[in-house]
Amino acid sequence: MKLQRIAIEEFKQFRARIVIDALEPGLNVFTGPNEAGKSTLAEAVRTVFLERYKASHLKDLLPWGRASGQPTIEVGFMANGQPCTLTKQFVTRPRCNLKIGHEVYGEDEAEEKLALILGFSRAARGAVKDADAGVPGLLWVQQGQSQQVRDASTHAAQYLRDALAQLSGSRQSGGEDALIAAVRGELAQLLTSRSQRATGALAQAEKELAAARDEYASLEQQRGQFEGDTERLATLQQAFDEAQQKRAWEALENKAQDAHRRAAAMAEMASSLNALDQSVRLREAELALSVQHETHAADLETSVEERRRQLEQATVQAQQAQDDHARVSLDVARCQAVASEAARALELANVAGMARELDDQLQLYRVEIERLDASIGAAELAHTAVVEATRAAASLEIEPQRLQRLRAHARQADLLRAKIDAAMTRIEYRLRTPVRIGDRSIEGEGVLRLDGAQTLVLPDSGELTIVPGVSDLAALRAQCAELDAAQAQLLKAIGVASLDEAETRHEAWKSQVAALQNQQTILALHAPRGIEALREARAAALARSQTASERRAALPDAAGAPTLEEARRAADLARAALDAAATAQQQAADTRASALTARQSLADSLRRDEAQLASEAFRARRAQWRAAIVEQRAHVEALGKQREALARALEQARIDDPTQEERRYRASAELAREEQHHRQVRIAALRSQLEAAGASGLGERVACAQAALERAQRRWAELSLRADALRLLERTLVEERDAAMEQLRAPLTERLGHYLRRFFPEAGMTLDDSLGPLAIQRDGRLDTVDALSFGTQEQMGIVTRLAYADVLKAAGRPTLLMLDDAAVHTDSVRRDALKRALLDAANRHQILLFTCHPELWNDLGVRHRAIDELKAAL
Amino acid sequence: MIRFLHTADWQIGTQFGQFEADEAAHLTEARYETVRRIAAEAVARHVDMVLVAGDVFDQQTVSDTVIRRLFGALSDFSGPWVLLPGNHDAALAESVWTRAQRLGCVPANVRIVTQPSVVLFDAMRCALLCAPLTQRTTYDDTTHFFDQAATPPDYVRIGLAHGSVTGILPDGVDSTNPIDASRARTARLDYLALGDWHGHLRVDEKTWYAGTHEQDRFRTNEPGFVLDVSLPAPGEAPSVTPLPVGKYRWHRWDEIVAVDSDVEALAARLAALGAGDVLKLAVTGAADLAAVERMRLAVDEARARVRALRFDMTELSVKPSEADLAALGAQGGYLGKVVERLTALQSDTAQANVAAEALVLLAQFQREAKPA
Repeated sequence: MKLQRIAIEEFKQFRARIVIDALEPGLNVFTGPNEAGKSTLAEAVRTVFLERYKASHLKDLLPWGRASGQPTIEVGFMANGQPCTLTKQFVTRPRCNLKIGHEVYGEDEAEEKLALILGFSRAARGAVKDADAGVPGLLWVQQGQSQQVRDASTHAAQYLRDALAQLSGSRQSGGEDALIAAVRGELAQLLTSRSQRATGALAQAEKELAAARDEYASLEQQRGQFEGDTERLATLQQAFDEAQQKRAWEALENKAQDAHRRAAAMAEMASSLNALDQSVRLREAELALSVQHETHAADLETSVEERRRQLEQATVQAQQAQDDHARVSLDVARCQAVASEAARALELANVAGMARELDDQLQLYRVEIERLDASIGAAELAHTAVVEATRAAASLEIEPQRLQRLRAHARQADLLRAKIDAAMTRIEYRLRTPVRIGDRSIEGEGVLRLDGAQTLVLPDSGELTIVPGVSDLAALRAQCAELDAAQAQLLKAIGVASLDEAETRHEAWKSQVAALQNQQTILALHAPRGIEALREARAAALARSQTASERRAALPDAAGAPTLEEARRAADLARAALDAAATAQQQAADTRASALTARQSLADSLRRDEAQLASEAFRARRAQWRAAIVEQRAHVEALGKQREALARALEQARIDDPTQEERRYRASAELAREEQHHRQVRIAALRSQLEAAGASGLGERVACAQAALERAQRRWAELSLRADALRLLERTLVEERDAAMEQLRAPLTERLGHYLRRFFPEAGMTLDDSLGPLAIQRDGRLDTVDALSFGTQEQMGIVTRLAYADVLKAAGRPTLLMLDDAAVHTDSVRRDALKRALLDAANRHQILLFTCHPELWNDLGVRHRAIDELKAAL
Repeated sequence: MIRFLHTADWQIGTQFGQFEADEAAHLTEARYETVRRIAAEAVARHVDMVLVAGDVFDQQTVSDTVIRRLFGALSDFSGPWVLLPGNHDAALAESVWTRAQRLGCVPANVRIVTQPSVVLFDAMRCALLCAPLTQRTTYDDTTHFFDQAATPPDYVRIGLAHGSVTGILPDGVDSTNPIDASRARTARLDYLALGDWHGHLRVDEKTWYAGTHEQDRFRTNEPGFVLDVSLPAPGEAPSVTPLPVGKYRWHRWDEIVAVDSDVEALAARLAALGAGDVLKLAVTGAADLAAVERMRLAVDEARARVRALRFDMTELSVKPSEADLAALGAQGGYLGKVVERLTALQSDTAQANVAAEALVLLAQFQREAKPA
């Protein structure tokens, strides 16, 4: 495809119409500063080819600053060797017009034709998506986006694959994925995509197969049952027929009859045996009676003999008892004599003992009386002393209070006198010559007390009058006098002359009192309860002594008496001997009595029996019994033999047990009949069961079920084969397609290398799964595209597009490269390489290059077109 | 002279699971139709009686309807019919025969012989020595009593039995229910009418299998006939004429294709088939995709014409030709590889039929995708 002419009107920046014509088939360069409209021009070309004319979202195509307008783009180009003109109006009155050669298409038809020329699909409505933009998105390089080749290429993989597939020799276009999709669609009808489980018709077939299998198995089982039952029926029928022919029960019944007869005969035999038994028993009873009589008589005889012997013996025994009794009686008499003697001795011994006792008492009484006499004497003396002492004490006694007072007065008087003494003036003198003082003279040494003025006459020297000082001496003296008077009164009252006397009397009194107490103690010792009590005790003792003396006198003379102990022992022994003898006598008496009685009764019975034996009637009866015994014995023996014969015959008959046999045969016959009847019933039941099953057409149903099973199996096998085949086909297709993809990279890689070598000799490029550039291999190292410098990425982006364009061109696709300020990051050296690459590519593709740096691109040998001039041209 | 029809092995009630239900229904129905045709033949040929040598019914417990229909199909011929229980419908204690009697649908002129016995037809001066099977299988020769069976003098002795003549039938045929090959001679029979073998077969001059009246399997042993037998007089040789009565012809074709012309020939043969044909076709060998398509087409067309058709090409290898590849757009590119791989896979017996089917499917998908 080669653009020849572009006309734009009322489109974004271009309000007025702008026309670019005479475009070169190779490189075209458009220059202009920023905002001049380079990008708008590029976008107009994109829009006219890629946007649907009716798209409603294109309001921003309107001229800048205007709410209405008629954006119109017209391009003239050569495609497939034919001149084409495409005109599109947007927004206000959308139109589309495509003229190919002389053919003109309008509106939607025009869009379809256009898509066919471009070879890619477009959205039915809405904006052009990146995915739909396809390769044109790759080749239309917008300003600053040249390095973003990988994103765009991802969406273009299918487009590229289609193109590459053609290069590889296949003429199929766009159909491979469709084929795989169709296969998958078919497969999905039979197997679920994820778990590969049966679904749809295959699942249905599986289910039907299982159901048919179950149905068949169930019916087959029923048929087996039916056939088994049929066989059982035949067996039963045969058994029934055979039994009916043999009639086994009849033979058994005949046998039973026979046994019955034999049983009757046996019963009769048993009955006569019974009768015989009875008569044997009767005869035996009679015999027994006779024998009993005779035995009785014989016994009596024997008994009489026996008792005779016993009687003799009893007589002897009675005599013996008589003797024993007499002897024992003598013993008793002797023992009685001994016993009375012993008793007398004991009594005497007792009297002797009492006499001794009384003598002892009398002695005691005598002593007591003597003691009491002594005590009475002593007590009387003590009593006299007490009376004397009491009287003496009474004469000496002073009232204690008076004595006390007297003592107090004495002490007070002493005190006063000491005070008076102290109050008196004291003159100590040592004189060589006597001195006269008052009416007295003194000499030598001494002391003078003055209780008033005193005049000392000193021989040769005059006198000395000594006047005491003022004092209470007078008062003291008065007091003292008072006291002395009181005391004198007291002394008089007491009856003594002085205190000392009083004190002496008091001491005498005290000793009198002590003597009294001594005498009282002595008295109390001799006569605690008084002398009178002692006298009474003496009288009593005297009386008792009197009585004892009388009793002693009354006692007989007990001289020569044995000791009491001996006498008592002898008496005890004698009494024991007497008791024993008495007992023995009693026993002897009893023995004698019983012996006599026994002898008497024996003698009586003997007499009686002897009388009976001797009686005439008894003898006659006895002869009779004896005859009967002989006769009856013979009879019983005869009957016994008869009975034995009969019993043997019966025993013989019983061994066969005809009753039992009869029962057995009858039961067997009954069983045989029952069995036959049972067979008949079962045959009927089985037959009706089989008839029912037969009527339901069981076998036919089995056959039908089998046929259905066969069909279900077939159906399943067919579907299963189809599923397997589809799965195999799908897998093979996918594997081969992926393998083919690998190979398809080759031409693209070759073209990339072609351009890359202008930048890096010996370099190569690695492609990813969607054929985008992945890494560059140069100088023996591998750099991922992302890791390259911004400028290098930009160059690689352009190189990649050039390579894609080559590949597409080779595949017969239209190509148009637009580079909008594509190499802004590229240095001059690399730019030269890029220029060479572009010029090379321009030999095969039309390239529109937009730049705001015309000076950088002025060595391409291509005329520059300034956008501003183009705008101004109109 | 006595003239009668000898037939056997009607196997009424057989189900044909190897065919689809609608096809099978026709085949089942045909067995009654052909019985009616036999009745018509009997009338047309003025025969004295019709002998059916066993296996009248396919099994004991067919439905009442089946029993009634069978006896109803006999109604055109009012002469004696003699039906003999065979192994499929043995005269057991409870059998299809006891049921038929209970249903009361056995016409008076139909004689069912459930016990080994001699049946006399005095008017024809004919003694029928019958050896019905009273159990499904036996290892005793049920015709043994024929030797001692006495018949009135001057009566024609005809044996009627069901089983395998020992030492005559092909190997693999049941050795149960044996019948001595010399029975006709030892029992002084004028004719021994046999059943069990589904093709009509002459054992000796006087001993014949009638075969089934209507073909029911693919074995090619001349089924679909009745025998028109004439006995001139006691001791004389019978005159036996096979008479085709079957409605359907069963074909089993095991075809090996190697070159295109084989397919063309097969297609031509298929084209010749009609409504009276039942076909089981198994194709082996190898063919290219176009040939397979053509063959399938031919088979589908034939299927519409014939009564029933089974087609098996699981053993057929599909070898795409250059033309196939061109048609598939698979001379090169990955489709070519796919075709190549699937073709190669067919040498692996475990996957051969799957791979072949995958190829055919691929061709179908491509053909369907092209117009779009």
